[in-house]
Amino acid sequence: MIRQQAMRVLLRRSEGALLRLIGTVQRRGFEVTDIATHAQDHDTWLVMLKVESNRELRLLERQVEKLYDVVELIEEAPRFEHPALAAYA
Amino acid sequence: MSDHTDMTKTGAEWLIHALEREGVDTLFGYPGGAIMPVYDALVGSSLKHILVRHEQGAALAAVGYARASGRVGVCMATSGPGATNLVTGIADAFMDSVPLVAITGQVPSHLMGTDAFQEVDVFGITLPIVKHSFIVRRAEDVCAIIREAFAIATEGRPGPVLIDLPKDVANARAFEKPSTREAKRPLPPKLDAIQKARALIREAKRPVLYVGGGVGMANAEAALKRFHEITRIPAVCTLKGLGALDARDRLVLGMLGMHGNPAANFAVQEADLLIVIGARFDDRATGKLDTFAPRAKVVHLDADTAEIDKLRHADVALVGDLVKSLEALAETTTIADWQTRCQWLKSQHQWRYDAPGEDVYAPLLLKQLSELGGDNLIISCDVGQHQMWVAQHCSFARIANHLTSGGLGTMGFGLPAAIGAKLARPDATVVCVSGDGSIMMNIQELATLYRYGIAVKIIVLDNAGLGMVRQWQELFFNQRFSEVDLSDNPDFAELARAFRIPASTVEQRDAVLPALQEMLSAEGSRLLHVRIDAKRNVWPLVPPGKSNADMIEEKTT
Repeated sequence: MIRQQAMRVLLRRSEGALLRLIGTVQRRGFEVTDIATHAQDHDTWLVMLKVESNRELRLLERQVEKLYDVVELIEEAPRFEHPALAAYA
Repeated sequence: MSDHTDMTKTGAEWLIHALEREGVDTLFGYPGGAIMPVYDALVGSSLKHILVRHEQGAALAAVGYARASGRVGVCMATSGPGATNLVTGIADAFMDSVPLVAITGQVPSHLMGTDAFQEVDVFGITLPIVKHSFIVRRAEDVCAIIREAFAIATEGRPGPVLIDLPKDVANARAFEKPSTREAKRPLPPKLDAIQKARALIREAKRPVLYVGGGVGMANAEAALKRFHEITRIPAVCTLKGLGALDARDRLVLGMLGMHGNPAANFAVQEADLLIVIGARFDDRATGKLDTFAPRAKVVHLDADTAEIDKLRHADVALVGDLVKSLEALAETTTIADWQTRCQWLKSQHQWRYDAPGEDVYAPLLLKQLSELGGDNLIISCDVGQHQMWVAQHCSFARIANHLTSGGLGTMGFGLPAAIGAKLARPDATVVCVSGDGSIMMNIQELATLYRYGIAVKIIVLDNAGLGMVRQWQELFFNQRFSEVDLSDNPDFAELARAFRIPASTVEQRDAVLPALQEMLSAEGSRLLHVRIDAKRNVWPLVPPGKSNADMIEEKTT
């Protein structure tokens, strides 16, 4: 059964980090339906993804956690004033 | 300023310096425009550079070096086609979790993104097949990136790391920016997981160890042997786990999977508990996944969290240090009936070597090779029928003695990997077992053998075709043979001699043993060209998409 699931990733702002993250998501059998990035500070991005798959999100999360550019996965949805980002909460 | 200048080097010089500091003694590569500063810095260094004849050979030789020695393999190529030629070897290292550092030259920074001569985005091309990768933007970062790359390549589940070095960065002078990065040590398994696993093992009446290549990567072979001595739980091995346990042990049932031993497959199917040690439920091992070990609970030991539950639910997962996990779980068991059953299975499925005819019978040849070579024999395989025959009929003293392209299945792996293995372990007897299809994929490396006097022995099992593909077409495609005929192959012995490698040809079964003895006792490299029956198949087999319980054996008339 195809399910839509959300994932929030704190990502180091290093060369290729975004490509590596999105590539991993797609290659592991998940379709990215929405994506937003938000610069946290000089060194990190918060990347918010909505993904669809019939696979379990936790299996993807384990693959994503292995990426060296990933600082951590964020469980709690952050609060955003901006309406475009609020959709990922 | 002058004493400051003495402390500076170019990016290329720092690269060579950093590789020396990592303890690298050998690297494999091929020069070209963008990497010329690095080759300039190589002159006078302590590193032994092996000039291969194709960059794919460099990457696969580095893989062979790493797998045979447990150290990081290093390969190097220029930008553009040099870099893309490394890709297959990098993918091979990724699929088989091999610690590899691949260094590519890149066009100067100001030309990157302009479609410059020999420019290719190798960083982008390799993103899905590396553990991590870097583009070096400043010469001062070179040393720290090399340190980081070696740590990443080796820690946790090993894998390949790519470093792309633009030419202007290689030429720029800089001070060193020191790094204190160390490879992370594996964490011990969690206590509650150990307790749950122990309880499952105690309750189990028909437990089986499912042993994979991760045991070798974790340096856990001795711990596994002790665990097996204490528990006496019947064991099966994956293709890459072969060598972890003594194949002569009556409770070691051989390889499981598509071309495994029926005893191994049937024991797994009957098991009520699978203890999975550094293995990943690959489809070639499991057959149809939802019919694999249908009554078994699973205790999964692995360095990589992402393998847990990926394909099969684990009732208990012990993630982290395999040695500590095995030590924590080693308790005696009371499973006499099951042990008797597994010994009986093994006795019923011994390989036979009495095939009728006078022609060379490859399984017998490989058994003889294995016996002659003994514990000091490293076999580097190519891919196809001969690869499965090696897995079935050779025994290995340790995992690092069986070099086989398991995950990627790279034809052309055998010869360069053998070169890397021989350079890593010069005291070992290294034999490349190849086929007439595979050997042609990296045949140019015969020139590397000759140039450096590397004493690799090569056996080409020549069935004048792509045997494994032909076998599948015969069995699963209604005998519609499509593009599998190689009967116009060159004369392989003549070909080897053209590369100044002594060679001979064998066509009769009774000539095999003396030819093997002569080859193994000879100094230097040798090629033995062996003609075999073109119609011989690998048996038994699990048809694609079927359960391992549905192994089919050769029909005898």
